[in-house]
Amino acid sequence: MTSPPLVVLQGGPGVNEAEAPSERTVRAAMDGVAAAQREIWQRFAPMAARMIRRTLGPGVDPEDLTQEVFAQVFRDLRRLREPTAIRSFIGSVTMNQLKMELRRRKLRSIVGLTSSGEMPDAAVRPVADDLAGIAVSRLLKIVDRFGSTDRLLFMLRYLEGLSVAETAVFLRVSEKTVKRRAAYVLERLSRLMRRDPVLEDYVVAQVRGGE
Amino acid sequence: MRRSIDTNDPVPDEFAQVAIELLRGTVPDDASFSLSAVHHLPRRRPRTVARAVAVGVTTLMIAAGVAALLRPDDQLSIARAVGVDIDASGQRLNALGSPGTVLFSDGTLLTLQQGASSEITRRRERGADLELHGGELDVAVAAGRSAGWTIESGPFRVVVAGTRFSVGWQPRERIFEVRTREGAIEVTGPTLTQPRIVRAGEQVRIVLADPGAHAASAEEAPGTPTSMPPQLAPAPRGRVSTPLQPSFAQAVARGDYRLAVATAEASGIDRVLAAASASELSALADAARYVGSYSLAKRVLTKQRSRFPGSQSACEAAFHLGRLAEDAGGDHVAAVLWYDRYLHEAPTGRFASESLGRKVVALARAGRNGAAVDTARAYLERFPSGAYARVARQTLADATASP
Repeated sequence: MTSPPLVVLQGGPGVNEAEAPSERTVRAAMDGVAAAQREIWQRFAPMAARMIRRTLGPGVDPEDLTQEVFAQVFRDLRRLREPTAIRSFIGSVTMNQLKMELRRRKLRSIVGLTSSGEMPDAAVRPVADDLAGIAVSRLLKIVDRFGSTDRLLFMLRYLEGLSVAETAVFLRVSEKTVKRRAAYVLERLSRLMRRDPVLEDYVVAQVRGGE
Repeated sequence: MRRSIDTNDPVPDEFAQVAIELLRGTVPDDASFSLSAVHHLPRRRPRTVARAVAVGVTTLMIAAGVAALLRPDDQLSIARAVGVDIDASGQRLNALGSPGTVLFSDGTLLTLQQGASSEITRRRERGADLELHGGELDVAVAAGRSAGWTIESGPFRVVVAGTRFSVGWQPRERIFEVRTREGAIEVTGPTLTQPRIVRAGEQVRIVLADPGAHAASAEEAPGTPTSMPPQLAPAPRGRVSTPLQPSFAQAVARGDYRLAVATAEASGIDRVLAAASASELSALADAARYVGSYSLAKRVLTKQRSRFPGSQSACEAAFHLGRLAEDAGGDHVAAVLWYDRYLHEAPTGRFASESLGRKVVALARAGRNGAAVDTARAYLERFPSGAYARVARQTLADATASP
């Protein structure tokens, strides 16, 4: 069996996924039309891949999980009642897959599948050879301690920059829950950073530098 | 950044703000990803051996269960249903708000018109017995597989000996109606002394005044002034004025692309191209592209341009013709010409970015590297963070690297 060709997809809010596919394209994808599914993939795969990397770490290859996301998307697409909600639908599926992946990783670290106790993906993170790199590595360790929902909420709301309403739709929780958990996540993040001397120094230097 | 301001929305303090900026920087918004292209469905790969084993065992168990369920009767099944409510037993079919379609495993397509209600009373390997409780049903039986289908409509029975027909039954008015478009069907019922063959283009309408009419027959006593006059009115060939088959635009709206193309072909492509509206032509072109009928898609798009010059649909047809030239024939030169045409007619149209980006790729594939570089520069100037920005930059980098 030959491998499918590799293509480079460029993502980012305001690029591919902002150009929403037509309702007809979504309906065709729902009916399993390959060309339409390809169009959906081209438009939204970068979004899913970016969210995966922002959640699991910049050194993670998002390929496998993105494929898993879209396998589920195309399998369950018929359940989509409103074709214009395709982006939210794909976002929700991505969040579900990420939740499962975070649980799998948690389980692997508990049962000691890695000798160091550190999740294997940490090993592929970029080598921190400057102060910012070191700060990022330490931040990722802090974020690793968050529960899966909190971690995804942080990613959606503050790294992806989604609104409270959209974050709620992606995570299938209420807007009130998003606000409440967001306050908790930000407070915890800030508290844990203050406990880390490297991060504290880094932030102080950044703030002073900006003054 | 699309962050909105919400009431009571927590604001990150300086520590959290620094964290957000650092983490955002690790994966920028416009990050590129090398991902395997999707053909039909993304491939799924077991992540671990244990998972693969678990999936394998589960699959075998499911397969065994399904096989056990299917073994007693290897029967017709419903392959796809759109706009039709099917009960838990899979027998009762009710059209939802608008016409709905049911595609069976033998290729037979039922279209339940609005309000139609039907029930599958018996399934066979090929075909089934249906009971039409009320409303109108369009039937397209897959060629060569017609023997197994019968439809009970009130006291009438239709045995399918042909391919396409419509059957209606209005229980309150006690009106039975059947029209055959292709092939022939056989109708039996209380007013008919012997099975009646209804051929292509013919229509039979029988009105039963009350249940006693079951004993009467129009053929036995035509025009008999009784209190229960059955009427039998075979329509002359080709005079069926009301198209029972939904238009191809309706079929496209329901996602029946093959039916849409088949309907257009049955109606006569030339006639459709001459009479259809711009939106209908656009729908037909999409349907043709989706089912791989590229020559039909090209004809439709070309007609769209000639019939509606200057319209938005004509401009967009140029873009789609460019894509067709690439996808169907690998004709990159023709594709470039069509993309140019689109960009000339709709410089800020919704496909402008894609047209220019595709033009870069098509020029490079056509071996016109100089033009590809110029176009890549133009692209980056207009759409620096567009979907083809990386391709454009790569084109420029390749040109710089080569002597």
